[in-house]
Amino acid sequence: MADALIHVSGLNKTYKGSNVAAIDHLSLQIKKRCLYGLLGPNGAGKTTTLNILCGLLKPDSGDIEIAGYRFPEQLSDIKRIMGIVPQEIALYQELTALENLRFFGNMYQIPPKLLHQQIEMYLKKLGLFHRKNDRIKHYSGGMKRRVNLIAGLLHDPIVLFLDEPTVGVDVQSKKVIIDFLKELNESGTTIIYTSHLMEEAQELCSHITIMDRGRNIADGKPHELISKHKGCDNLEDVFIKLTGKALRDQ
Amino acid sequence: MKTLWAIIKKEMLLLSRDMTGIALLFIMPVAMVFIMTMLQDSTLKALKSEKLDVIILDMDSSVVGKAILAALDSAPVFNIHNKYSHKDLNKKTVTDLVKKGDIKVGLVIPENTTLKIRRVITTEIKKQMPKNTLIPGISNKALMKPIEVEIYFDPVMKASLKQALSASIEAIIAKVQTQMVFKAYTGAIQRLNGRANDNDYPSGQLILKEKAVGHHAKSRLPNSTEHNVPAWTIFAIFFIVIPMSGQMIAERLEGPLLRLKTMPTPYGFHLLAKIIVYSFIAILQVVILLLIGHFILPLLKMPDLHINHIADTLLFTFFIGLAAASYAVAIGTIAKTQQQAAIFGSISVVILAAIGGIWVPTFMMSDIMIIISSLSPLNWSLQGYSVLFLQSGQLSDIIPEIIKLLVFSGISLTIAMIFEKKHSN
Repeated sequence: MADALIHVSGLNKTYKGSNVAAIDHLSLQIKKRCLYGLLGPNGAGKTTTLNILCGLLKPDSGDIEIAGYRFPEQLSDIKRIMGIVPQEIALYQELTALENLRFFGNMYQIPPKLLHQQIEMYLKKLGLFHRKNDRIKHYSGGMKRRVNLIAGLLHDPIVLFLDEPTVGVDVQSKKVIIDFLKELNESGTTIIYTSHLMEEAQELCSHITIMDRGRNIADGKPHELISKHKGCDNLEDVFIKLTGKALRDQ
Repeated sequence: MKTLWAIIKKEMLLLSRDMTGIALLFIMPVAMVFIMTMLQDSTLKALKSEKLDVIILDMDSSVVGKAILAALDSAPVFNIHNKYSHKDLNKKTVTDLVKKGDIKVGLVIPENTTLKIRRVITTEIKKQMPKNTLIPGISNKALMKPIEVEIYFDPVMKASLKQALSASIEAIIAKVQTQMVFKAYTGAIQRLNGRANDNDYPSGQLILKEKAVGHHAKSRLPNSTEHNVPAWTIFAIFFIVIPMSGQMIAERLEGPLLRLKTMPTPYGFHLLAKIIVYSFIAILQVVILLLIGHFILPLLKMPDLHINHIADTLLFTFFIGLAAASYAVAIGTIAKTQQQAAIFGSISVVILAAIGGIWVPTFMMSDIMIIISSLSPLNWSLQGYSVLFLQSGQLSDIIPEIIKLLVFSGISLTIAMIFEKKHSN
């Protein structure tokens, strides 16, 4: 795929002390400007895949290339062009939103004036400007998620990794986040997003990969996946059909 | 450089909002310095200038009795009681006073001690001289029964003091005897030669000169301020392990570390910034506690702390801070939870402090404990401060201590790196 931004082939990862592969010969091709959904039940390997792509975990084997940069040889270049919004609220609870964002922006060496503009713009866009001087620990869950999102965007990344960005937030916050992600994607940012929320993924994503037991078991546009599987009316039906009804985290 | 400054600023902000951490780093050592200095002041004073109360019943009232009285009176460790007149004293009153604990030692010099010693000596000399040599004032009847100078001790008295007193009295009697022997011999020889010179026993040929051995001539035992201010400062510096490792674990568990590791700034930069911040916190702790030792403790009638080389002291403190911060990095990397870090961190620092001579000075420890204490980085730090404060030493005098602290820092950081690598696999 000539226009693919991310190439992953033959990726394998087994955690020390475990007999089960967390990632098993996984291959992915993610196009530029795509809003890519990585779905799967608990333990499917979504977060492990994201952690490897972000350089947090070392794979056992496999090839990765992001925007023409080879992994792990050019990891520092990869880190400059990617943003990450982890599932955890990766912020300092004792610092204010402004202090957190200034600090993380400085880690990307963004010029002070530009950083100030970026912070102000995103805080206003996500409805947090009036609370910028409050400490994160005093924020609601939805507000924390929004600051968490901004912290991954300050350096205008080409590719943004989002691990369950709407988990545990109210409907209003969720809507703000989803609308913002759509806008971001339309402006040219490639987004790779993991979620358990099928309805949200169906609405948001332009391409979806369903993972199970570390493997890529289905791949395509949401409507293609739905029409491909007889008797399925939505992505959730496809998901259940492919992954089964058995509990995965017993 | 801007990135490093941004991290330093963030660390300072985080620390400034950690009230428990600040209390632990600044209020706890100030309280410890005040409490421990006051507690140990009397003990250390006693150790340096303890005087033993002695009462003497001199029934001899001649050369030996007077010599013992004069010698003990001039010795710095004995305090001769004069409040009982000779008429009121007898063996019973002396033993009663010691029994009651009013006086630690009672000494009874029997009647005619001088006379009896003189008789023994002259009898012995007579045996050595030609027959019919006239030695005046001597009876032919030699006394075979030894003279008993009785010493009554309070049973709780330190064995070392008992020995010191017995040895002093024996030495005094020996000296008097020697003088008597000399006089008797010279008298007998002069009579044989037909000359009459009044020769005295030559004394002062052997003089004991006391000298403290240290890096400098000013070396001496610390007073309570000189021990406690540096000791509890070191303890406080090493207590940065608690807030620093706690923050590292919070950073890991709450998520910021995950974000930091996905950023272009190397993680080592973050650790370096933490170490720099906490090493400067150590310097701040020292400045505060030295000022207390120098200005405030004397106001409470505690001894003063003399600061000799302030720049060297602060530079040495930086090395101590570096060692403590590196140890905190190791604990923050190894421990899985804040509770683990807090428990292990505090207990390990308390143990290192106990064996390192922070609570009880090493000069009061047993030989085996002195060897064990030399393994503690808190002991190296205390040794360094001792040289700087008590011996007017300089940084060049404590190079071995600095090297030990640097090696300790290196080992701690290597352990942290190994565990950090393990986490990312």
